[in-house]
Amino acid sequence: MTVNFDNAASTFPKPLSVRKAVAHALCSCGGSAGRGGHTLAMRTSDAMFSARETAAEFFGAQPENTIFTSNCTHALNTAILGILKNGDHAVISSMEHNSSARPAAALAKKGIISCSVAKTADTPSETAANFISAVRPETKAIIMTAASNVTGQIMPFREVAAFAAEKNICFILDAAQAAGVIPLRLGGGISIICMPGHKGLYAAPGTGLLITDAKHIIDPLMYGGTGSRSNELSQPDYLPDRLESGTGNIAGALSVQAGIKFVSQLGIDKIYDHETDLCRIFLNQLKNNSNVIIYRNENYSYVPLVAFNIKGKTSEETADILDKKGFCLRAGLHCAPMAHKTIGTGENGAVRFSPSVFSRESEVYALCREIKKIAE
Amino acid sequence: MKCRLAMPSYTHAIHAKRVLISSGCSASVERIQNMNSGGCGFEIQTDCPCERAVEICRENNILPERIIQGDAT
Repeated sequence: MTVNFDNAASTFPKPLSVRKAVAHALCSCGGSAGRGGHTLAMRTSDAMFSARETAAEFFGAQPENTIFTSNCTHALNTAILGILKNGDHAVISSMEHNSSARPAAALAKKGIISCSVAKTADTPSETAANFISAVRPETKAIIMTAASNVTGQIMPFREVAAFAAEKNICFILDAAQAAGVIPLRLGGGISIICMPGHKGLYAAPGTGLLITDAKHIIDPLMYGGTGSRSNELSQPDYLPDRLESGTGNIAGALSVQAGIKFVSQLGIDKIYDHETDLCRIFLNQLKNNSNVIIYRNENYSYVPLVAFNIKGKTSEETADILDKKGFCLRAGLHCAPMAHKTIGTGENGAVRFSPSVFSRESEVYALCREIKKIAE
Repeated sequence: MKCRLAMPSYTHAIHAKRVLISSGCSASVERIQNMNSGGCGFEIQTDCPCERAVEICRENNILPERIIQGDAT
């Protein structure tokens, strides 16, 4: 028995429709989208557009402004490095993943930008106020995770995005843990949404999306062939070509489309409710155990994942014991050292329980029994 | 075929085809134009007048590169 409770890293298993979409792409889409006018290339171009259209509709964007990337990190790097220029200022939160924090820090280290870290406070309104007070006249972008990948804590991103819109600041949302779990669309000040395909959208690993309202020009991270304006040395200035160089991942794009359809048909609310119920069982089973530390703040809402530790054990030791019992959970710093520092687990990290729509109550009860044994 | 429009990329071409068809025009995507003329080689062929086709495209934020054949006035 192997049970995946590390769905916040990558959902597994994948829906049958997603697996079929990948197989269909590899069996039928033989050409390169946008390159060539022959039958295979046109079939692939049509399929790629259809996938783009599905994603665009789901997130409230134009198909042209829906960019396929290789993961959420790729999308965030494209947005952050493509928007911020010499002399700009950026604000990030103290709960950011390295996928946002590192590109911002790299620009700051080179002296290109200055960057402020807004502290995540005890309440969402205080956190939003920290962001607002960090903004300066030269602030070009606010980069904020919708929900922490460590604790699941939902950040007050809608409030901060609304403020950003008033100041004409580009608001970049890291939706790594939120896409497919809570409803998200462009608008309300959200200029760019970055996400993986392989988490809450149930697509293949190595997929991601950058969704933009195109109000802020993003310079390419990568230059090359786009199948358009091929007689010019300069990169096309229109989307998606501006940000998509090289042959696209058609199998990945079709898996994203199938994943979004899976989420849409099942209902994002139903998925959220199911996974939240499983988290509730997990919390109810363990909250009164004095040897189990749960990292939650009742002032915040959460996406369905729970960070915890067992007293006297490192997070890695706990995860290792659980792995030997058939439960796959992620331990350590989760590539988010600032978030761990914020919740006081900067040294040991934590263990993360993250169910998916395919997880079952019986599996959660079985996991909790094992955790209780370790905590004895 | 009343109108041929050069498109900036296959994404725009296929999008244009979709919106033209949903607006009652027949439309197809072909890749026959000379690449040296710019664009991506993909063009839209439609039985709607160019003026109408361009208008439909623009309403949907799709900007054709140029009119290859047909009248925009």
